[in-house]
Amino acid sequence: MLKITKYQQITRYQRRKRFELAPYLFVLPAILFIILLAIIPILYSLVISFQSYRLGAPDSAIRFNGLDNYIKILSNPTFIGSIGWTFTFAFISVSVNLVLGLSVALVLNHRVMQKGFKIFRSLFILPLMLAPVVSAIMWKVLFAAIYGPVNYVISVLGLPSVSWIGDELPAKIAILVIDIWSSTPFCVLIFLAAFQTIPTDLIEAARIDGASKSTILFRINLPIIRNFIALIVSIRVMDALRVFDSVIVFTNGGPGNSTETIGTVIYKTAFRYSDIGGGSAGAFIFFVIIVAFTLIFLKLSSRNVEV
Amino acid sequence: MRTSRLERIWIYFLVVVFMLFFTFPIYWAVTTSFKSPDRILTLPPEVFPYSPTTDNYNEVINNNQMGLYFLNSLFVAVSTTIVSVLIAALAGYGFSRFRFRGKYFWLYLILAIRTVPGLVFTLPYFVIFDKIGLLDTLTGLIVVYITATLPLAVWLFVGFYDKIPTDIYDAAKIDGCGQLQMFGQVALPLVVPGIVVTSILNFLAAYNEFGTALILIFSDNNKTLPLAIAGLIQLQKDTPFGTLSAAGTIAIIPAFLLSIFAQKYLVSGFTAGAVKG
Repeated sequence: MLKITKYQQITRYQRRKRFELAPYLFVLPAILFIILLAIIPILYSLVISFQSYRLGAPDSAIRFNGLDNYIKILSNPTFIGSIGWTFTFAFISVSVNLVLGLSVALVLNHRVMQKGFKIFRSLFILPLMLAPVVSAIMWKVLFAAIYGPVNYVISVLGLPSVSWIGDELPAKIAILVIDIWSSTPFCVLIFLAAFQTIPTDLIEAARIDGASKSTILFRINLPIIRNFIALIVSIRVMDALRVFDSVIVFTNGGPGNSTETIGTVIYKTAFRYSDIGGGSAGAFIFFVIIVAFTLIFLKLSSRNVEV
Repeated sequence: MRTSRLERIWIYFLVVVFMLFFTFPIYWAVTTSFKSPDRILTLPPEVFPYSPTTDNYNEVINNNQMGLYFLNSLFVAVSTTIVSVLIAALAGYGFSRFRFRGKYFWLYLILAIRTVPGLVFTLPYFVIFDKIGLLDTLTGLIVVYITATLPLAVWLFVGFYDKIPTDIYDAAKIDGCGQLQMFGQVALPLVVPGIVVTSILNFLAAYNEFGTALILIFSDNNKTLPLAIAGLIQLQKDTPFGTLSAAGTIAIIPAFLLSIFAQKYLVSGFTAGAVKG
């Protein structure tokens, strides 16, 4: 999109030798917002992360305390535990996203479905548009202890009812279900867009050569849309690592600390335990984790493309 | 190509299963919102509300100010959308049309900011807003949301303007178009679909946001809808399923309307948003 050939560059430079104010005026409001409300807060956050900044304490009590905040939060077992769970959560959620999203997209894209397709698509989009808080309360009603429909179905099957909020494993499964439910429609949309880029004559040729449906899917379709798959993975992993709303609403981190995520621990450190400095240190560690993940992912996916 | 009967049945079966999974929770919340408490607590659960009541709505609107929170959310989301789209439409044009010093630096800086976790911003916002009187105000929240929605909006607009052929600008220049006219009368009308798409994405982002509002807003009258709904749970010991469902149903009205009237824009919006991000 932004690529300009060398030749164009040279001629453009020659055309515009005199200084022009116009471009700066157009981009100025956006840049002001970014500097004042993004760059400065990031830097300020970094400063706070090295200070003993407590909520409600007078400004005079704030002092530089080196790496104390970082050492403290990294030796907090809840924080370490939350990192493990957040990554497990992201891994499972995104894996299911890919399989379920691909299945739904394949079904919607099937010849049989072409007529009623549009109505179905608008219904499938709905979960994607809802606030995570709203999705979480909807599932809270479904997962209700005694009178919830999920437990009713389980009891009809003759199994003991499950405490979806009170027990560790069910609570984790429930939060995964909520996340998968609200994010898979996005993956479906990307897969559907990806299918549009597959040349039909290629599939026809393979079919004439006698390739089976699964061969066409795994050997032709999926390799062609691998960039879209990489896109889904990178966006969804970022999102899943930041999971916050649904946890606060559904379990608030419980039972015990078992469903605490990186986000909820940082939030609670800063505002429940009034330790803004510690929270900022946690937020920066989180930031570093995300940057590291992005770089590793970019490296891996660019290597894949070259093959 | 023939489709065998078995395959056809299999596909229909799968569609029904997927449909149930993705729509049943919404159906259940909407129907629960019309059930009286004793009808909610019954076995087997009522799939259809046989004696519908609006008691839950009376409860959330009259006793929990849900109407006010709905208006707060709309106000915040609409203000965010208008300002953010306006600024992004200007910036996108500047980045797409001109070459200038620092152009790529700023473009990629804006992109990089998208990867920063929200909590890195919200903690300093809390401290700074407390000092300048923006803490616990809707204005403060709107300013934050504008900043948060700008990166994606700017990148989307750069993409939309890039599709305009340069010939059109050249022709307008020959006709004696000034810089401002070029933007307002030539470029902007050509990206109207882009404006709709970006507006929808920004609106939904601001309307649905919870984490930042949780930190920056605490007085009752300034709450947004997600905050108020989450508050319903924490305030009471027994989860009030009827009122929760009613509040949730009120909250999904805009999303529901958008999915009916703007489906085309939504699909292209979410797809473009992903590809640009």
